[in-house]
Amino acid sequence: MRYALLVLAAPQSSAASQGALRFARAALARGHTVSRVFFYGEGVHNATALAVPPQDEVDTVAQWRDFALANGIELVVCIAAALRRGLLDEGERERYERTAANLDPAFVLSGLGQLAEAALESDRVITFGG
Amino acid sequence: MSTLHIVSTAPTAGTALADALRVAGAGDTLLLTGDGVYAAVAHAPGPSQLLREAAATGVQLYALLPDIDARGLAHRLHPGVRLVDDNGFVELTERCPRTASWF
Amino acid sequence: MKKILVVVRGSPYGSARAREAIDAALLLSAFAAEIAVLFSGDGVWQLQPGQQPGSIAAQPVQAMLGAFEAYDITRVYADAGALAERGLDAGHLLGGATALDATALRELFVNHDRVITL
Repeated sequence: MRYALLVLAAPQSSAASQGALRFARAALARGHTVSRVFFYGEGVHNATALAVPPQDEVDTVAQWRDFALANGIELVVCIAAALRRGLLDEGERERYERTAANLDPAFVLSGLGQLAEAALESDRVITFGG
Repeated sequence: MSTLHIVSTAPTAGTALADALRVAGAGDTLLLTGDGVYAAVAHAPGPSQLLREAAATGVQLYALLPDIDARGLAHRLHPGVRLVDDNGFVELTERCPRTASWF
Repeated sequence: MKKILVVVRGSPYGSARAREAIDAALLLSAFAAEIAVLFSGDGVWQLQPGQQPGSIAAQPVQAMLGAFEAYDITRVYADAGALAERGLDAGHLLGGATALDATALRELFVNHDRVITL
């Protein structure tokens, strides 16, 4: 089956992001496809390239990046939710004339249409929130 | 066409569990994850009552094992709650055509 | 075509959750064959009449709920149990929401292919 995941919580504020990662790994292990992970609301904080967790703590951003690269999974961040929270890629940095871009390159900014598409085209949509 | 209801916040932190169980009916499945697993503790009067009522109406009750173990709850569980690991979580989503998350 | 149920559970003004949930519901309506919106839990506080968030320099949710009609979102519901717990009058709700009891809620879920909680 094709799964789409929706992540709505920041890695530091709940266990939802880690739960989504564990679920995604288990889904692949059972032979399913994870077509897209969409980050919305506070979930956009999963895509920052600038978080520096202490060495004895889990680096959730790195885990998403490694997981996506190893399995060819799209990590899509809602652009409106990201801009609101100061999460920019190089294009948005330039457009809004901010001093730095901080979106991890494993993630892409896009619109909510990507969530709609994922919801309609996959067999299952699982939401991971607060 | 049953629904898998996933509750991920503690029963003392809001109304997610109660709201989910108003919707859940016979043939539906409830899975407690994250802090939601605190509802599975036996002798917590409010949540236990909700879970008993849900089981009586034909809702199947599950909790996510890694979240139970992490919180030291393995020996304090409500007897009607079955445990699944991450693989079992995926299996539940295969079985239920629809999932609804509550938090 | 798939039918989507959006469950809105955030109270207004406490965080961006409510606003972003309505944004998403409006956008999803353009893609789905059919869409319904259910206000659940503290989300029902969005339906409280008489909000004047100018007092805290916030945008009113009324304007957003008013957009439902323009986006052809006609099926707007509230969990009657959640309304009752909060002392909200099911007869006076913003957004044209209809209160549903537990039986009707169950039916609502069964009649949709996808449930997205925001």
